[in-house]
Amino acid sequence: MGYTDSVKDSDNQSHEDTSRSDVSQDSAISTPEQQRRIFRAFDWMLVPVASILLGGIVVFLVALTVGDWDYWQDWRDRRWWPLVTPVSLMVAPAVFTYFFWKYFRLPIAATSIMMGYMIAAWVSRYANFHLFADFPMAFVSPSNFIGMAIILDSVILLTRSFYLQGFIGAFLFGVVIYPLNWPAAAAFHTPLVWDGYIVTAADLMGFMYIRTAMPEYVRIIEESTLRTFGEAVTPLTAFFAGFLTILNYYLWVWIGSKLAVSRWATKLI
Amino acid sequence: MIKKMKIWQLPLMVICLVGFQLYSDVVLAHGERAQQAGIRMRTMYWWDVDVQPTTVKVGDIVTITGKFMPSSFWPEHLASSEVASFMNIGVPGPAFLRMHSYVNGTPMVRSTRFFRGKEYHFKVILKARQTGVPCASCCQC
Repeated sequence: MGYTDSVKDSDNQSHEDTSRSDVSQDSAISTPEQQRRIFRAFDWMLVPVASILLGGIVVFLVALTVGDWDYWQDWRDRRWWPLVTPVSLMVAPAVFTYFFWKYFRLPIAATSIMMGYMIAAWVSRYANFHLFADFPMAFVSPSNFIGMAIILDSVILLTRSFYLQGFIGAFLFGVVIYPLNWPAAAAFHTPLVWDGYIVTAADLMGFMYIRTAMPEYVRIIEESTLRTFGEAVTPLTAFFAGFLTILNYYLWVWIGSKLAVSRWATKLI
Repeated sequence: MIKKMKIWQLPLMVICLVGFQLYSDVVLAHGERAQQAGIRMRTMYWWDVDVQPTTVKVGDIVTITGKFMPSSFWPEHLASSEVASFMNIGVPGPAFLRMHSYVNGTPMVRSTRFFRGKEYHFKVILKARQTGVPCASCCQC
């Protein structure tokens, strides 16, 4: 947006305003080509930094709202993990999708944020959970959410509509979390018998690697067993998560529309 | 404009604060209340607890046995042990692996119910996984 306009402006100014052209001769940027290169360099610098920064914000958000549900393999149950996680993860992509699409026509917000989050999550799990607390990395490795974000961004790229992105993209964002993570989770759903009880490999790891006062939520919800097996509950949860994510998307896009106005910037300056 | 905003913001803030206060529930995930002395005296009574052996090498087995009884004066604001209970054990990180856990001879892989005033016998078998900090070099006590 600003790049082509400003190139045109600088061309016009160089013809019309001689005093400004003197200034531009003093500057390191004197041609449209140089200006274009500076814009590109700025993008290459800004996008990774913004991704990691926004990813860090999402790490805090997920820690506060999803927390243990995504920290441990045995907490990724069939009822709450596929519901809580996409609803919470939708917040930052929805806000920044409004900003990036409305002002820059860039369908990259969700994917960049989720990439940043995944980098930050892997660093956190490896440094904190594995090196510091000494849990096996397989037991604490993060789930993968990048596919959900790519779907969300693809929908706005194809439809160019916030309404349709919410209706189709946000719904799929909530629905596909379980199938996208199924290949990684499948091995942990292997049924085992321990002390005469049937448990999943994830349940057994949770039993053996002791965590103080955990994992009580899931045991209370499921009344005595963890049940990380999928079964019929999972698709129902996925559809419910999809509907909730649609509502959450519209809410946070609306909040994004209120936040992404120049009034806040002028107040700061 | 600012005066108008303040007029409608104040009741909204009051409603939000009161609503949050009324809606907030007891936190029960991480044993936040388990350390309060007054509550510990009214929840689980433990006795005859024995840890054998007390010094082990990595890979050795530690057996913990003892008895417990849920208090008849269990606080109403805590989740009841008669709804869903899990026989857990506290270790500093996974320094030990829990191999087996029994209450009255029944394996405690899953949760169960512990009734108030009833005596239970427990046995937990752990395997040493990591070397700990030697007692003499620790400054905690």
